Amino acid sequence: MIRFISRRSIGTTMQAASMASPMSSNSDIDSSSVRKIGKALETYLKHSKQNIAMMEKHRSEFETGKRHLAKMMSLDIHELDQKAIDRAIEYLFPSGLTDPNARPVMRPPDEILPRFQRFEFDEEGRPEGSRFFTLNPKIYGLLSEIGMKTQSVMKFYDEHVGSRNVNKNDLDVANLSGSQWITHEKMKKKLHEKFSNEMYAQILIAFENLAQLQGSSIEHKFLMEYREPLTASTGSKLFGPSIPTVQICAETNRRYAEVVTHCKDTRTTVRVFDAGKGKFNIDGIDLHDFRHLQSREILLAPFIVSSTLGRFDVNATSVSISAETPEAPNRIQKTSIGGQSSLPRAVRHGTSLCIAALNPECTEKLRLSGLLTLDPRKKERSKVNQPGARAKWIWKRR
Amino acid sequence: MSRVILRNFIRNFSSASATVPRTATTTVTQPDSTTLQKATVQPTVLKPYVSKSLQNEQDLFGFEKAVHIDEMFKARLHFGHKIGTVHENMKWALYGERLGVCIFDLETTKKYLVRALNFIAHVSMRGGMILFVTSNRDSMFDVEKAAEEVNQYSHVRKWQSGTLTNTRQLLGASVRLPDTIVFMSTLTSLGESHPAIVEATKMAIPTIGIVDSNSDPAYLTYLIPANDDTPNSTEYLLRLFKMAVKKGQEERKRQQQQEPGK
Repeated sequence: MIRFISRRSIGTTMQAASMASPMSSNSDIDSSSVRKIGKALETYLKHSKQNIAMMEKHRSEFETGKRHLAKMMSLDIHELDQKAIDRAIEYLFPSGLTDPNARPVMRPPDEILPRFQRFEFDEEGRPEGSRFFTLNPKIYGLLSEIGMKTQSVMKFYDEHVGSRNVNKNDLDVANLSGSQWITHEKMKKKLHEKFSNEMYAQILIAFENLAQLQGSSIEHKFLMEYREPLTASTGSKLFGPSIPTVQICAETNRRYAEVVTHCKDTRTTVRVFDAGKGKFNIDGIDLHDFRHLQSREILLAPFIVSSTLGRFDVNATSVSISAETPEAPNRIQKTSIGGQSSLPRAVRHGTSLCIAALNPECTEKLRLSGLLTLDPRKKERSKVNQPGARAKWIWKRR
Repeated sequence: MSRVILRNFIRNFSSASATVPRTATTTVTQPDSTTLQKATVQPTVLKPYVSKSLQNEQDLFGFEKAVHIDEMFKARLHFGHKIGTVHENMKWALYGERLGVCIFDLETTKKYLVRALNFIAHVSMRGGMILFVTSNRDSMFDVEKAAEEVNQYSHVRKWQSGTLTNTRQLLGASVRLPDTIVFMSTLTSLGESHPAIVEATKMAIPTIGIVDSNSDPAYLTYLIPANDDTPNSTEYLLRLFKMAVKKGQEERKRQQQQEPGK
């Protein structure tokens, strides 16, 4: 098999194409040697060449851009790796857009630009793969594989039910608890092929049908290839920081989790220890030192929801976010952290995430009560010629 | 309709190298336009331009001996559908009726089967691509497996319209189309003709179709009047098709070894 990607000269391909001609008589040989390569292959090669030229151009542009960027940032070109580029772009084009995908980027063109669809042909221009003409060869191949496995599982069960020669566990339904089918996106990546939502639904139906059969445990390994653990997916769905990993404290040998979160202008680093007594230490202040009932209720909410009151210790340190940003020349620096509401709310979010990490059974409860979701609201800036963000001066006729 | 002309001039991109008819004489390689015009009425005038192996009518691969009527009978090839469903254009292939079921004349079936097998073997000998198509859910895995075994193509799923006529859009590039399409069943589950038949006709791709007593034989090039939905019969027919493709491939290999300079 030859990939017609690069500079495979048409001359050699022409030879190859003439190989395909039938060999009936000697006079045929003469006529076939001048026969041209198939038009389809020709166009394909043309497009392929155009794509290669285009990519070459973008790559050289990227290299030039890199050199300019290094000069602007007064860095050596060799120091400028992708991380440095990202930092520079963030500095040069500050963006307030919430979605990281919407912000300006500078990456190698191979990562960003859409890939050129490459087919594999042999010397005669025959496309590779017996399901090529179904247009979705990989996905239909998977469907056929599932179908054939379904048939074999049913046959296996019918032949062995009630017999003593077979391992009894093999006749059971496959145990797939704690996992779920991989998402559409992941399946696309796994099969290297695009396909519609309807097709994905069809595959899930076929998989479900196979998985619920008696005796499907003999295909357990195959099924698990297309499944993923349940917990892995919850983290990605959360808005804001994800559930941290559990660590073990070297001194006390207790499990703990740590997460950084924020609410309004307050950024907190929350560390929750397992096997505790329900102690709070928020910038050196205990739970009882919060004067308002509201604050204390907020702080206790995740423990009440997950019914783990008195099981964990909470350590939190907080800083003001605006205190860290560069000082504007004509503005007084604001350095105070949140008070009776925003500080406890920041701590609550961090605590909930840590509890979800230390005690994964209550993750779903916490998520449903909205405690694992970040509150992204910020104080809106006041506008020029206005007393506030939206408020206007009182208008009066002169 | 002259297939030869269409294949030469309407299908721009095809395996032109593989299947274009050849001349026997060294002087004239291509038929001129008047000959082609005549050929639309009488295709036999193109005979001098066809390759030597196709000049004589003899059975090059010996399928006459490979196909037996009693085997066809055992594979239940003679069973059609209920007489009420019989298609007007399929009556020619019927022997009669038994217990309300159409019965095919296996003598006729054999004649047509041998012709189709011969065609497949000749295409295979010239390095052609053969696409096996079915819409029957029971036999789809068998068809896929058979196609894979002989290194050919299969399509047993939903037919996306334009698969043959609009490859440029659907695949992003024009590709070499199959040289022959074999329909293991020509009817969809709704009882309509398979959409690929019309597309193949538009692209002038010769088709082989197993036509049951209720199928419409229109637009199919090579017909095989036989039972298309019994597992036995599908199995038997697939075995024959595989054999034909393999014989063609072997012959091709033998010829290539004889003339390594090509």
